[in-house]
Amino acid sequence: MRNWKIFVPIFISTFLLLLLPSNYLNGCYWDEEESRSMFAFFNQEVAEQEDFKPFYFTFDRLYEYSWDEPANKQSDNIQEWVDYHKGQVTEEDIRHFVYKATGNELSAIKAYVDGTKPNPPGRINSVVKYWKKNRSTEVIDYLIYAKQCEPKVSIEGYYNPWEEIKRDKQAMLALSEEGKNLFASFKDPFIKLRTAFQVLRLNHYAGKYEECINLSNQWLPQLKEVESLIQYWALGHKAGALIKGNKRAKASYYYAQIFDQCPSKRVPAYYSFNIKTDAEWNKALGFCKNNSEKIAMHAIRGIAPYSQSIEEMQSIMNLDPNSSYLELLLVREVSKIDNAIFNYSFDFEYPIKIEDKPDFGDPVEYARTLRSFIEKTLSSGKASNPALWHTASGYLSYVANNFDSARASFKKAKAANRYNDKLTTQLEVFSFILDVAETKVANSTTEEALFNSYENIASDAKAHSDEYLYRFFANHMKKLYEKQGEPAKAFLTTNGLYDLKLDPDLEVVEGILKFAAKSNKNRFEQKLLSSVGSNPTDALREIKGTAHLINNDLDLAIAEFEKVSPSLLAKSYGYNMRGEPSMSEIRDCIECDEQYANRENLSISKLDIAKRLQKLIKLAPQLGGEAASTYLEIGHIYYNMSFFGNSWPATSYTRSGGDWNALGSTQEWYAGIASSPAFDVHMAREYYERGLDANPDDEIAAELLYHISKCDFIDFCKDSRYNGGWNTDWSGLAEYRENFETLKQDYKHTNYYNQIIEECGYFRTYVNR
Amino acid sequence: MKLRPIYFIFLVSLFSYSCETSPREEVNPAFYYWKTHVTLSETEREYVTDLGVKKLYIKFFDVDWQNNAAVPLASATFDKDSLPSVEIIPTVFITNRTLLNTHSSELQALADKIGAKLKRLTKKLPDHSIREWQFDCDWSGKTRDKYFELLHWLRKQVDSPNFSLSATIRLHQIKYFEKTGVPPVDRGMLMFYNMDNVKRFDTRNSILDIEVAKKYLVNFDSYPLELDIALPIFSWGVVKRNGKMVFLINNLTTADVQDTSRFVQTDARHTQVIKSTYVDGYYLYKDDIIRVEQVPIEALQESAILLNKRIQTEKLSVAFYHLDQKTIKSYPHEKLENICTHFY
Repeated sequence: MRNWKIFVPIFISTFLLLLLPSNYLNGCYWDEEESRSMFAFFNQEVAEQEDFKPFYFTFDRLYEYSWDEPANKQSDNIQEWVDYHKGQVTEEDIRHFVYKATGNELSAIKAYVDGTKPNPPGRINSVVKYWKKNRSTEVIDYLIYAKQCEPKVSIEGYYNPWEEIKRDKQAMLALSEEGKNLFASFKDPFIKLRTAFQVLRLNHYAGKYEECINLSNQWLPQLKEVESLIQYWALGHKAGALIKGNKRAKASYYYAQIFDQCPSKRVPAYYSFNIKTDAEWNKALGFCKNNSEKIAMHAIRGIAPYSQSIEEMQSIMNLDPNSSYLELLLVREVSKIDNAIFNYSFDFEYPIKIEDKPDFGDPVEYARTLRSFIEKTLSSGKASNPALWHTASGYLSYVANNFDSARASFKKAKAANRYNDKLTTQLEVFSFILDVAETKVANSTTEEALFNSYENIASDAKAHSDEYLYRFFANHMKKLYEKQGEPAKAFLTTNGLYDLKLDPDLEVVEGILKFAAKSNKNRFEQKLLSSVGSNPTDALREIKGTAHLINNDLDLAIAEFEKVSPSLLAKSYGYNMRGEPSMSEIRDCIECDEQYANRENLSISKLDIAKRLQKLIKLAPQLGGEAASTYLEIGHIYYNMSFFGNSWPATSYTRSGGDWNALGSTQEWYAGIASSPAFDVHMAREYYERGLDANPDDEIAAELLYHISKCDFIDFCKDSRYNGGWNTDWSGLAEYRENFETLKQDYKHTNYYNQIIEECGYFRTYVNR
Repeated sequence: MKLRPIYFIFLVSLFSYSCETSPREEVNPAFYYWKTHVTLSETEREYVTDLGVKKLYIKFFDVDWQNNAAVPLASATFDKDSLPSVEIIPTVFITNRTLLNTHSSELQALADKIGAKLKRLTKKLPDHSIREWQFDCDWSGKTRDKYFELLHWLRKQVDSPNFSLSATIRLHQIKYFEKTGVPPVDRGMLMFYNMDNVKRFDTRNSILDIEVAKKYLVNFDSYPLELDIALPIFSWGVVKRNGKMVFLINNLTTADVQDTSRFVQTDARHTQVIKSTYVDGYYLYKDDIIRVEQVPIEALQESAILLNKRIQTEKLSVAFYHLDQKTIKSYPHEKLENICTHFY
């Protein structure tokens, strides 16, 4: 019986792929793969619908469902076999004969059971004992026959999806004929039904759909009194054959009943249900013999992807207000709203901010509609589990920003709840998020109280929403800290040391340093500070010094770096600094030249660089005619500390070559990268230009002009008209090439000119065009 | 080093020159066939013959990631007697998640499997010459290198000078080809459709919008692959529920939403469901909004005029996506023939 394991996921995947037109899959955008994570406060499992758990709302195909072990398929079947043997056999023994024993083993046992052979072929277990006592040869004949059928309809052993599945149709039909004879000869209805199932399955898979339907019509009514899951397994093959004959209404009616009644085939039945028109739906509904069957039709439609289930819930309510499907559909709808809101509003704030509203719609409005339906149901007294309905109503009130109404509903839910522990925890979670949402001031009292509540609930709510709860709580506190003018604490709610390094804001760093020094921090404050390490002062000072260096406040940078422990400062040696800061490069070459190869020998820290800059800047004006080369060196240091030089770790903690794409981009998500100080070369330009003003000789002047041209090219790339040079329209480049032109016209006679002609393709092309 | 592509563009822009479009040698009408069971009706066969179709691009299977493995899905089955005597080009759609999840060291093995399956399916069409495989993947920055390596290994599967590989190319992959890369194949099939965001409410026509297309019509002169063209002749209904796109109904036309007891047109592009109803297997709820997107013949003509100026391919295939009984009723073969004449 391995075939379902293999075919169901494949069939479903195929089905889902077919649902999406390939055109849609092949979009015209340079998008990365979407990854979505579910953020939710509402736990659907409060509905306690274990049998229908795969149909709770989820992004995945099914909720916590394992394709390898479809719902109790073997265990339900084995239980039936145990019951058939009047409970006198063990599960283990009957499992052996149903799923493991070979036909030969069974034939040998049959010889013992019917007296042909005096001794059993092996151990006499509970099943053999029962068969011998009752001379049950029919069941053995059936099992021998089933074991012949199984390999013809299933795939044994390892299945390679790349290989073609070959079925021996002739052998299948021969077995079908044998099965018909056995069916006629067997007396026991339980065995007859199972034989019928084997024959129907053989005909279905052999493509003999009419035969499958005819035999079903002939045999199954005779056996309708047999209470067995095999009734539904057999019906599934009849429905499959009907689908092939385009009799979708009847087939879908059967699938709905299988979905409703047979846990082991519930998932395949759900995926096979297939109605195309209103006429087919009405026809299928017409086949229903009672309200329960009609409810199954509405339920299966209500759990379809993207269904809008209020309509189905209303229909079910009209047929039977006690139907358990109502609770399944209810929790699905609440979870959809939960997901719709929190999946898009990434900062989890209140009041809920819906971004990109035209594209997204208004889940809050839908929450109001759903709540109105729930309240109507509660008022009518028809809700069979009022605690769950009140809980859902309260949560939807909260989503719609009506906190008083939410509290009132939760109170009613708590009063109505008797035995559901999950619901008790859920109500605690909701009470906490309401407390958070209603907190208007962050102070030691509210911090302590909310953090204590969070810790108490988190352990109960674990595995569902503890992480989300903390993020929600922390984010709310962040808003309050921002409002109260506490940027350091606001930063620490959702960020850590790494975030600070990415964007070293001096005000925040100083604020955190002060906060770290505060005595008597409460437990929430301690938790906040833990996000920047156990001893943050040293790291924060190093970041502060770096921020000063970026801002070109050299005195302040030096003063701060001098407070940092030598061991931390030393980390900027060697592997971190990629090259000597004052090196002159005609072609920028990050991490690829000789200096980089010997970087372990570099022992220069951020402090050293700041001091060297300070010294050179003081020295240069005093040098008169010699100042130009010193200005050139200062320019190089500033240039090399930018994204484009090998001393970039002096001012950045991270560098990605891909960040180049952000230059000049008008796309919003690149804006932060493009405005980073790492791309700012104005200080380098300023000192190169001072060098030119200091009457240099022609060699130095050529070098200064060339390096100013490099700054020009970076500015060109940052110009939004040219989008980092990715646009093909380079017509505006000329305005950035004035210094190339000066070099070309006035410095041909210099050695440096020849060097750049040799090494720089841009300049060579410019000169030769 | 990041400067290299810039340098490359710079050189290209310095040395490129414009040239007159020379008359083409051939313009061959072609079709995509994208259904799993490949069987052409009498009407479809007649249409293909009347239009003078030379090639059918048939989707042989998809490759997707399931249960921690790359697997083939929706493998084609053939009613070979229904196929006209035209060249068949097996096409394989590969999902990005397959490439994301497949380790680089497994790409050669995946290519072996794809190649073997293509060859096995090809044997079912003994009367047709197969000289090309086409691969369809909307590769992203994360999957580009793996996709290109997979194509490299697929080429090894058919190491013959008379056999070519082609890949589908989206418009943005031409405009930004320095970023998106150029697949290592012999030809590209430019998919001149799906050019706007289908999910946005204010999108005019996500399938084909000439104004949107114009923004992408750059870099054709420097794009290194010889290009064929795929033009859309399909329609669909974009269904929005509670403001969010929930699914597409293939082949939906305005004629399908004319029943005033179930639908009301709210503006030029949108129709509202006023009574819950099934449409082609999809259950639509009251208040759902449908935007029917179709491709008028005039838009195809304008596309042809725009593309003719930019595509230099001498032996050009113009493939219409896709062959379907219902769709072709809206596009008489003379009209499509006329579209092809714009490329001469």
